[in-house]
Amino acid sequence: MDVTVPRPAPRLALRSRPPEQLLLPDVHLFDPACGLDRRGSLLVRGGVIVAIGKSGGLVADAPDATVLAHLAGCHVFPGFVDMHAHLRTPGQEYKEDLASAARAAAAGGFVLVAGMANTDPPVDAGPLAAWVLDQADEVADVAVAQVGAVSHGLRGEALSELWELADAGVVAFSDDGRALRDLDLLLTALRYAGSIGRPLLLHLEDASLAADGVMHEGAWSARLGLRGIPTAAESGPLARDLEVLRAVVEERARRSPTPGTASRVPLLHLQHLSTAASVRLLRDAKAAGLPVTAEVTPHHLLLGDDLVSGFDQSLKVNPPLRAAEDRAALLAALVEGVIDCVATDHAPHAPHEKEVPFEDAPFGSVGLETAFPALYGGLVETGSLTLARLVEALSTAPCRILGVEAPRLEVGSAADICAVDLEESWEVTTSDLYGKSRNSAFLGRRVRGRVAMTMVKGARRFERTRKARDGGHARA
Amino acid sequence: MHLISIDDLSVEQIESLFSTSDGFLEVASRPIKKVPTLRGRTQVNMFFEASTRTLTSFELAGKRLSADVVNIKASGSSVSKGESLKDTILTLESYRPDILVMRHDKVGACRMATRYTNASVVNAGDGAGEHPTQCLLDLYSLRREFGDLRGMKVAIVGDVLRSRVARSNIFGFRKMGIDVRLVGPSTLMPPGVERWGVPIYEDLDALHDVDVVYLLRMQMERAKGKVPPVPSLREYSRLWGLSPARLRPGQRVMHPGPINRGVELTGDLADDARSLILHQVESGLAVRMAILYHVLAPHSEGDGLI
Repeated sequence: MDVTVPRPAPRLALRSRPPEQLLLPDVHLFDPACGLDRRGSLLVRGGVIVAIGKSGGLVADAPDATVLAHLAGCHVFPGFVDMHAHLRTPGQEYKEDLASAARAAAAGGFVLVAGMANTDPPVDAGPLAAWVLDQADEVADVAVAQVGAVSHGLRGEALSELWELADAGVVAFSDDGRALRDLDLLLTALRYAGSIGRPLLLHLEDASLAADGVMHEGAWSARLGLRGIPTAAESGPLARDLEVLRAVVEERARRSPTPGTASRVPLLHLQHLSTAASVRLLRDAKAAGLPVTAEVTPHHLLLGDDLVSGFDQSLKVNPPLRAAEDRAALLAALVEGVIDCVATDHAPHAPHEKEVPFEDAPFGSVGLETAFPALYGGLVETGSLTLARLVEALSTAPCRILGVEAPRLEVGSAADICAVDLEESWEVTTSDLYGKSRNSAFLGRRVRGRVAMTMVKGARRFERTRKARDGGHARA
Repeated sequence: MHLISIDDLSVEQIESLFSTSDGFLEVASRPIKKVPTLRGRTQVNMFFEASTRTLTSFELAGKRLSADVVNIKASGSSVSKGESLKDTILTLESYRPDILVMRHDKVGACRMATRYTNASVVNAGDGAGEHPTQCLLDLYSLRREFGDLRGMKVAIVGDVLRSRVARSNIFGFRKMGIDVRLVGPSTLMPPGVERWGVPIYEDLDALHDVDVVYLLRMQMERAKGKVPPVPSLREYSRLWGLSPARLRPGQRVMHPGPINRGVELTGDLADDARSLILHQVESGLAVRMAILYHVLAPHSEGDGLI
């Protein structure tokens, strides 16, 4: 019965580069979405994948192509997509800017990153979102999507002009960095944004429970004498918010009895889940058919609260690194698909901000460069997670949530791909970080899988000189 | 005896009211616009909430019927000294009024008033509750403009959530055989409205086949303490504001007033020939004369209006 409101398309912005004619003559093509897992060759021309052939093939098809022979043996994946990054533009360009964030993204195999709205000023109005995307058109070497603030000024009091933000091309709405404390705001947003067709990304944090906490509340916070953030600071508001979602879904189902229109409730996407209790609530909500999805970060999957005993400020993140049972639940949920995707929560902070006592340091770790290698080394190689599921969680799944076309290794698709040497085991150092900030939770840790090349729209955006003993690399 | 809700009236009563209104409309075109119908009767207009057209309309209606009309407003009355509604009505009851026309900012205040007076109470708007005389004048305007009401299509657009006009018009229009649909952001549709069996649309595209677009005023003043249902009047007008370009030929626009030019509709549309807004005001006088007449005329009997 309902008239369909035309959905404005999300705008993906990046610097255009002349498309190259590139031949990857002998790589391992791997794309679970296309059922592809074999050695072969790939030809890119005019920004799209024009041919997929046998290993060593396609040379005759493209005598003029630049042959990327040095990628021999690398795995080629659909380019990774990070639906949760802090690009710090506008206003905090000393931490990161669109060019440096895109550089870090490309170095991590990412072809698309979504920037959160908690900038200075917050991206809470269409013209500002358009301005950021215009900047990305000038300087970003991977595609940038912008998230619009749910509430005006991120103050949690009144909605932003969500339609105007959508018309400016924002990909989703979120007050990330702050929770939607007011249930009436969540309810109003879910009702108002129903027809816009953009997901609502939720940062879950109860301010009263999390107040002054700096790490997971548990044995280690007790031992170290640091104020803890209990798991209920996340699962408490989650339970509450899911009840609001359920009510709106039921209201919509009554309002639009025609099949297909009843689902016009925004997808509620849960950001950076960190606790076993949240996983349990998510599992139940999905089983009940609620339109809910979730992400998990590499650091919450791999790193525990015990590590905080070294007082490395890069390990101060929000939500905090949790206990082993939480990590086990997160991993199980990711394996099963209950947690849909991996997102980095790339959160750059300048050295002078982080180099203060642990309790005073701001929350956040950068994550774009290390996401795949950390997870491949930490979970796939150990047999906890399949490579197919990891690639899906880093590409197809976030695109499905954001409603944008996913990169695919398929003839005719945009050439948004990355090549990774899965054999290389390496230790993360600051010289492996391509953004402006150095606060990586993975510094000094061994990871596996080195991104050798990232291509967006058929042009190389990052390329590394392989097997260089000194660890040197080329910056595209 | 009372007119509190549009539900109080049957189709036959409404049609009879319209016949009487036709007569009073004719009276309004005479050089001498006064008739002796309610001579010796006392009509008290108690307006506890601001009003221009409704108060003027009821006052003129009573005077043209030769009733003795007294106006009481909240400001400047003992209400501003803290007198309770009950005590105000009991005090006025000592003067034995025949009709109490009452507007109040609280839903149900008019129904409450009926417990403390022998006068006929006419609801001139109670909070976000009902505005039955507005509904009747709107129906009468539609009848004057289109003739037969049955089978007409009307879209009611905008702030249904906080509108007493919508709560009378939706039910009154449907009672008279009009096909009603609601259009607006779902935050302006009261939760539970889907149970009324009225189709709800979010987009103005739903106006394409209606005869009349009935615009509601955005009542931002009633948003206190809640998250506002729309981010701004600017975004509302961009998406749900009506302009001449969005109307098809033959479609008419109505609005209960006061209009917010540039919000519910563009200023030029308000002044357009397709706008029935002033026509509604004219109908209002005749209909309210008919209401006062039916409430008090000697042939009145029973609990109904007539």
